[in-house]
Amino acid sequence: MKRTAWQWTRATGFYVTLLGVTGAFLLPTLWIISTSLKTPGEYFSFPPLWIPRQPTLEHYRLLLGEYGGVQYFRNSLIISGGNTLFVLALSIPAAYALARYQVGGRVLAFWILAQRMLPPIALVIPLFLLYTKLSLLNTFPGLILAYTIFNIPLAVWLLIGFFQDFPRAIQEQAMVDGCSELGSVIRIILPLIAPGVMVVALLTFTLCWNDLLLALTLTRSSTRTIMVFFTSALYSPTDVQYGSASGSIVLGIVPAFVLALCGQRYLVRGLSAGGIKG
Amino acid sequence: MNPNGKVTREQSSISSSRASRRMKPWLLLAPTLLVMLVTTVFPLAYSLMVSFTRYELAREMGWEFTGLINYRDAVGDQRFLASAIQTVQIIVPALVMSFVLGFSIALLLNRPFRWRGLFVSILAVPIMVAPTAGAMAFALMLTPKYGAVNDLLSILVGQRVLIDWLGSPGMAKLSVAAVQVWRWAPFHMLILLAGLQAIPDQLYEAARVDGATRVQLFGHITLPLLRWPALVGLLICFIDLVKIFDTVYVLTGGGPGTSTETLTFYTYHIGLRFFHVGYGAALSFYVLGTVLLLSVLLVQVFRWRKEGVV
Repeated sequence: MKRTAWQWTRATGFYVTLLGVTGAFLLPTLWIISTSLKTPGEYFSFPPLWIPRQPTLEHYRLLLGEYGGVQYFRNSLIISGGNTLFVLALSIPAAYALARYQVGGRVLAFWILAQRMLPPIALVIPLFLLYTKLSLLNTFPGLILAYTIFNIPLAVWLLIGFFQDFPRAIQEQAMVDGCSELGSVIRIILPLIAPGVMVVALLTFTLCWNDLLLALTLTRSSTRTIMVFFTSALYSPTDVQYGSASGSIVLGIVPAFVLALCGQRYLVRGLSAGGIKG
Repeated sequence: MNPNGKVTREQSSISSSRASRRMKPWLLLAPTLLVMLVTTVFPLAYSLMVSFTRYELAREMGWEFTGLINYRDAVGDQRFLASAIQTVQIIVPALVMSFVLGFSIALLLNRPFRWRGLFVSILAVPIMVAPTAGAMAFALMLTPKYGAVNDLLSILVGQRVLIDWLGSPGMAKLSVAAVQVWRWAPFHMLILLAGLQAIPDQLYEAARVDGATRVQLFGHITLPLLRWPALVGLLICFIDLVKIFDTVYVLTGGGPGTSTETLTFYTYHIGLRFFHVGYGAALSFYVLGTVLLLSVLLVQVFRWRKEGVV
């Protein structure tokens, strides 16, 4: 089909708008990447440089070396990873029970979900007091436990959906063939809903990784997370720290990118806490 | 309990004996319920107790039961009331702008073209980027001399623009709101795009056959059918925005002065910076109450949806 001039104009206009919008939303990320590669002199150049003339990995070297960035990454990894495993271990059986047996009826499922809406500030004050008393402040188990507050409801809610969507006939067939119920869940259901479970894991991990308020309150020097590290760089802003702060942000937003690119389909469902099917 | 509104059949052949069938699901749930009891129910109850006392962590003093004094003081606390007003001043424009922008992008993307999935994915990135990291990025971009925003404006206008984006109360609020727009517009975009794609093409075709104009198609088919996802998206966004903390903490620190202090930020300051924990706990229950009210509204919307009102 031959295209008219009007159609070409329209198509061009569409792509220009599209690229403009995408560019605008990517700008903060691109700016951070660019800043993390600038030398101190380039950072303070006016008008600002969009692309560093002499890209340098110096900030990354300082960040991972002298500033002990590795330690913050490790802490974030331990807390987020530990929390993800813990949340999955608790949520998978719970969601299965809620989906298959309807225990507690609507009330229980709703109560679990409602917990996700709680404002973190209402919990972080008593947690701080209790953790001080129980010496859980500045400990990994304490933090891993604290993050279950918001992540369990989310994981349970998403997993209920996956279990319900799973055709019951397949499970029953497996059990007729001599599989136990536990066996059918482990060998049949979980492998088949694995992509969904993966996304739940990624979402849990990222939400934990991204949190500031709880980390700010419940961590001290030896468990400081990467997010707290960002903010501390802001309070004594020198060029070097800006550079390495940008560098740490670049590394710190990697999970977000992985999640957005792999699990975009489930994002809506996860963030709207089951309100809408993604 | 069905989140997807599906009715599941009574459990049939899956279990062996009656008693174990009754017990098993509860055993599967028990660890989760126990953890939730320990991490949520107990701390909230504890906090409620603390909120009825004068409890200063900085001074080595015990609890002093004061009843509802903290709650009464909060109503007379000018800075707290101001933080409530400022929260509204920041999040309402953010809510409106992010929705309008998200809706426009959803309409733009609601057509087949090459690499559509890729564009949707890239546009979804801000949702998952840590609010802290996003706010840091904006902090760097908004620097008057070395930031990207003023430079971009300069190029567009053709002369040097040096706006101090965080310098005045009004501008600072606007900047905090802008970060929220960046973060939430993609969320509305995803929800509305899903809504748009769920509208059957036949509806449009039928209306077109009947001679409807594009504006009429939009006003009489698209908009009414998007009511539901739009409403849910707006409410969820609103509930989350009420709790805004990270962006304020990173971008403005509540300043200039106290002009960008929000409810959570001020409560954090009182309870966890100055350690007036009794008073802070009381403030946090005001925040909790607000969020609870909005959540009840959300549940009501779900109910209306089921009954076919919305």
